Amino acid sequence: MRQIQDVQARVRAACGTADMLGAAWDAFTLLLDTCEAGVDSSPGLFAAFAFAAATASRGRLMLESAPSLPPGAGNQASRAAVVKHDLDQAAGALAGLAAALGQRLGEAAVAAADVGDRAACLDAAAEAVRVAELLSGRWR
Amino acid sequence: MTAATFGSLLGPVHARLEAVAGFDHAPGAEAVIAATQMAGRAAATLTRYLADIAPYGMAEAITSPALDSWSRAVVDAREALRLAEARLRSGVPEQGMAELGAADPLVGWLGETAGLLAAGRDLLHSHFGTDTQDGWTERSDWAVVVNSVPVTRALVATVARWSQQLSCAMVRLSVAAARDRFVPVSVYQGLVGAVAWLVTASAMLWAGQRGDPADAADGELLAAIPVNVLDIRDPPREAETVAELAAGVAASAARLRRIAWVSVDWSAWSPAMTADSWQWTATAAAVVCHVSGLILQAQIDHRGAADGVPAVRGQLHSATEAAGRACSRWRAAASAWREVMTETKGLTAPTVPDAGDMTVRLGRLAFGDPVWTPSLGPQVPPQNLTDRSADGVRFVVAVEAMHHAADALARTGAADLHAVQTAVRASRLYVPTRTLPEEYDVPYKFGHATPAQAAAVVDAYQAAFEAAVHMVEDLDALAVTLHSPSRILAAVRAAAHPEQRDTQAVVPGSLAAPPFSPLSRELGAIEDIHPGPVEQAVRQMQTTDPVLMLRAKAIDLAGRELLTEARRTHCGHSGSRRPNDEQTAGAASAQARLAAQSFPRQGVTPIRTAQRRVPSADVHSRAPIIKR
Repeated sequence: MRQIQDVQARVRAACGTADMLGAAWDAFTLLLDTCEAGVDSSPGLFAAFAFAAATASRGRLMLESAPSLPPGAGNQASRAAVVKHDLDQAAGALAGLAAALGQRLGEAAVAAADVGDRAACLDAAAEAVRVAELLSGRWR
Repeated sequence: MTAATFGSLLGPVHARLEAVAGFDHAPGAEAVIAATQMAGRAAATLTRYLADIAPYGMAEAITSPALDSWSRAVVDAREALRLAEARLRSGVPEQGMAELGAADPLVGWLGETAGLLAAGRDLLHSHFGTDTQDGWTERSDWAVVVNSVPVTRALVATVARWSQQLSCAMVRLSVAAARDRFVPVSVYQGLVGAVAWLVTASAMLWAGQRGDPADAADGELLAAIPVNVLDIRDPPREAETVAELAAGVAASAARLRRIAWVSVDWSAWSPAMTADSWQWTATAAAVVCHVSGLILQAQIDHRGAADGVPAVRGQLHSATEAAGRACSRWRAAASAWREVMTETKGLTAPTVPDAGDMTVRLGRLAFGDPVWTPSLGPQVPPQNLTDRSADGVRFVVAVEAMHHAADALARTGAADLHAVQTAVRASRLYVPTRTLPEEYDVPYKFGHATPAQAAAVVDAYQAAFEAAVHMVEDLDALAVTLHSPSRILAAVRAAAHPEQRDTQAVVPGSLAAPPFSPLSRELGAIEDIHPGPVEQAVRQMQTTDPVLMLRAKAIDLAGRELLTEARRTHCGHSGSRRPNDEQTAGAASAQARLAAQSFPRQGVTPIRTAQRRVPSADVHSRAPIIKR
């Protein structure tokens, strides 16, 4: 849980396009790995976590096209947060992270000077918002 | 909302023909004439049904050793129906007079019958189309079923029943014609003649099926054939009942099957076919399998449907395991897209909305929550569908829904596997450059997926498809045991099975080859031709067998064609030929060759006499004598 909060803090504190893209990449990776790990935790959560994991992976892939994405992104080991004990709380924390990520990526898209960065941030922001919806009970 | 099926036409046709056979008013002469005209249309459509089933010429049917008695019976019956139609049409004096009687219910019933019969044939034809070379192509998964032996058997039995009913109706109409002095004699004679041919057709078909009659399962399969159209999407609504949820799943499944068929080749070019869509659909498939597993496991835990039926318990366990395996494979397929994308993005594939609808409805069925969605909500355990006090058949309805969903997923899996392979061949898969091996020097953020990366995606889909097929086969067995309405899916799969198709291919009577080909050339002419030597010889024997007369006419006609062809060939040798003659002669010579196998060179004498007169040394030098 602490891990989710740390990444969320980093997303909120990110400054500049490259920093934001790097933080977003890590946030999507955490969302993806944690949702993937949570899929089998409870029958009732399977669908939400499965769709959230798929959506997070798309969001991360959207960031790959950003010219300002730091070169180190994508070379880190997987870091799934432990969600087995309190699933609802973990899902809530992940939804919060995804919502913050969507918001910050939207802001980064507005601020980005490069067209490629702007498009990548916008696409990834849409996926982050979708993850937040999936993990907070909204289905489109 | 589900598509119209062939079965939905059977009842109305039966009711109208029964009404005609039992009418108790006195129709006017105009009504009798108009009704006769409508009956002629109905007979013409029945002829076309049989022409679709056995598209062989009469001469071919008589002479070809490859045709079995069953196929010959269909060809004979087709000719008899053609004669019935000719009789009915020949009696009607003029169009204007017939239109005067259109207001009579008798005319309405027969007109509607003709329309319904034509609609039924059109429905079957909707599963076929033509390609750029005017060859026949299948246009849905049902095409194989339409061509299958069970459906052909059932269709022949149905045409036999319709012919019988139409003959009864014509008897009734002929009585009315006889009583009304304003009805022309030609109409009365046409009706009487038609009755004889309709009865003959019906008897031929029943006789032909004696050794291999259609059973109830064949009839169910025929009745289940839907019209090949894409129904309007019906998104989930709140508070749907169990039955409505199951019907909704079945409707989405039908749409997915149709979409899978038509979209299979789009992946090479269509911007709508995206990696996002494929990943999303694979995820939805995993959720459907997971939810199905929960429903099945709940039945095992609550000992509901398994109680008292030992076979069900084993099938439940098997289906639950298969659902679990399929779920894992679909998850792996979804994960295979994590680092792979197409040049276009978004959830744009046509399968996405229906896969979503199916997932939502099946989830609501499993959790008993009328507003359940795949997004995170209140966690409730799967509901106990064995609660008989609420609704005794809820589990069977749930099995029906799961069965439809699994069947659609198996077909979607096959289509997606093909689509992904096509996308690989079209170089539509891209991966981040950082995932490429060192030796790849790509100056962009993304590069083409390596063969190994593409193969990983294809392999994941292959595994998902195979697991989906296993799951639906296990649900086939459960649906049959529980007598679920969806058991028809198992029958469809059995009819479309490759082994079944091979068997069917050697059954000439099926719609196998070529499906729905045009009527043979002699049709339409056979009634009008002047009696030839064979027919005259048969008539001299004072036979009353209509089949013999029919065949004699056909042989005479084939003989005339042979002589015409011979004359044309002779002229061709002695003079110049136009370019088109080549084609015409080629087509005609095929018929002529067939006819030559049996056409006698001299006037026909009784077979026994002929055999006595022919010296044994000459047997091989002569065209064979007609044999029955």
